[in-house]
Amino acid sequence: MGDVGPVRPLSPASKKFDAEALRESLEDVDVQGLLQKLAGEQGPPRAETQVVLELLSKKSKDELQAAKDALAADPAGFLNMQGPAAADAATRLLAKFVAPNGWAAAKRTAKQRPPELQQAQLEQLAKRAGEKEFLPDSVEAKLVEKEYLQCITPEERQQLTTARQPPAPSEREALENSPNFKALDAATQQRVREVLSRNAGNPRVLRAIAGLLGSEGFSRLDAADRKKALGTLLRNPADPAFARDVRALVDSPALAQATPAVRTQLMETLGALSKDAPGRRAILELVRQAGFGKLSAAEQGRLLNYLGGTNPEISAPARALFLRTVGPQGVGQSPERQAAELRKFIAEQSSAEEVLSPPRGTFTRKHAEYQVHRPPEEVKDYPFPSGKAAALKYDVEVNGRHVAVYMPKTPGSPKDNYHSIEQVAKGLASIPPQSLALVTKVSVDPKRNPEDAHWAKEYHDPHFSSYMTCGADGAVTIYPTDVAQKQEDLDGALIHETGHALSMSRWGNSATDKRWDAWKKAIISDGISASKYAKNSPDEDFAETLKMYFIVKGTPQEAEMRRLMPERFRLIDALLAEKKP
Amino acid sequence: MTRPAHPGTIVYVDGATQQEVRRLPVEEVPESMRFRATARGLVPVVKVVAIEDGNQRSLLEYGPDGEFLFSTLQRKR
Repeated sequence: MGDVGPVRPLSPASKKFDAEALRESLEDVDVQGLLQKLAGEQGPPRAETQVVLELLSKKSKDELQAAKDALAADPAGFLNMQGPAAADAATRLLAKFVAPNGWAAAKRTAKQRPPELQQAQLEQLAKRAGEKEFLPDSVEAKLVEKEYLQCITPEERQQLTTARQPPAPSEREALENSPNFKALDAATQQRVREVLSRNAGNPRVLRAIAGLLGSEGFSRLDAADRKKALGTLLRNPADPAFARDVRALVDSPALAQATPAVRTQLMETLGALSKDAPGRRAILELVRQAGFGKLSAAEQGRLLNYLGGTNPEISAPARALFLRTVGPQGVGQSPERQAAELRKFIAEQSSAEEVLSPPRGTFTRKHAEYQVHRPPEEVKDYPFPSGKAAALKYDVEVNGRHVAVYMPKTPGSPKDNYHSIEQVAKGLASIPPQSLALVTKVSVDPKRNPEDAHWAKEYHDPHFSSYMTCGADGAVTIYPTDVAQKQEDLDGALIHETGHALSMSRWGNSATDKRWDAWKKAIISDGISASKYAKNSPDEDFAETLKMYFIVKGTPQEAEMRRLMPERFRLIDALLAEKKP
Repeated sequence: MTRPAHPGTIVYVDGATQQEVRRLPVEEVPESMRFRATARGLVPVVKVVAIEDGNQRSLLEYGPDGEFLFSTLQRKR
């Protein structure tokens, strides 16, 4: 089994459990390591197990197959996963990833275990199947359930059947006759009826709605907010955990004390996180802080924008940090202290990424039309920055603009990684037209940047090497790297580096030119930065925000980011709307 | 391209603090890094702002009027 490394031990009962932190700490752990982590757990079902399984589900088929082979080759090692947690983990792994024969394999495995562990394993399986946690609606889940029903006792089967019986008609009648239901407007009543009819076989939906309508907090809401609360619940009414969280919010004093706008924002935020339990926990922890009520409505709104987004760049890491920061005692002893800590939390943004890393596929559907005109022209002694060498000159056309791209005819080192002409063309098609207009040529140098030696001497660190340079003359050079760089990295770097040239061409020197004033004011007014790197200077803030702009453009997260950085997005909108690039 | 006279020194600034960390006589800088090409010809580099964060470092070079001349994006090997 692989070494899991320094994984922080977490207790399921601890209020400090933080799925995001666990996810981060396990991100680079291999399949064997994740299995070991599962084996080390002490009593599922647990949120930690869910995180590990989620990470396992992201592994490639090859990685999983390799792990399966390793387990098959060492059944003793597999069976040595002691305890019911290990039994559960192993069974779930097999059922989930080695389906459709997972259940049979699990049963075979169980039969090889000592009797007390067999029993424990079957108990866990019973619990899983009872809770329908096995891949709901999937073929595997059906297989698991079918097999499961064959091995439980008749009494257990009866219990399960009873639990799954649709609600009695009287339950629905009781709901529709309740005062809070009757107080809803006709359209909302009709919407609830439709949801109930669609989910007639699922008692959880009816009970979730009845639970919300019967809650104390709901009774206190005005008609408009009742409609919003119900709308929030109906985003995922079949999930009991979500239904419980909606009730918790509706019952919270913070919601009652908030302005109408913040109340709406709170409910919309929780609804947007309807399938993200750790995310909702952060929001509920936030409103649990008495200091939240001491903030102005604008501050509350900004915190909710910051913590409540579905974006992985800013909000998800902010929530993870918030949950780590907030403990059973809250973020401070007194409401005033808590309010100060919340203000500090958003001002410091310690959770921000070092540098924005665009997720895979970010720009795939966003780049402009481009064409690489072939054949390339051979240039005998092209003056690359590393020295003269034979090059192939390609004409890359993006939206009618032609850019010369010089590729090395022969790579300088077989060990190094180079971007292809297609990647470079795609990269050029990803940057804003205003930036592209400033690019005069691109060179993919066959060798490392000779200037690296000077920088290594000046900064006493030989471990940095150039990836890209961009001059005010519009010349971009891309250098070979030890590790292959993905298209997203190239696109992001091009947007960032040519962004420097763009801001300089429009606003001049950031230290002295007054044309930068609007951007500097926007940094203060927005209060949120795209990354830690962005905080270094207005130049870097512009380049990173421009990259963020293109990362989220056209995605559901664009609206969130516009709320987080409204002024800077407005300025970028204006810059990119200029008719003459 | 004709080379204008260089003022003689290049100031190195820590981007995080915006403080000057050292000042190098231009003779101690490789020739190719003393000037950068712009649309209006070669311009002397007089200031380098380094911003390092994690595995990434940006080196931004500026001319006598504070104009942006050149950026280098480095990554840790």
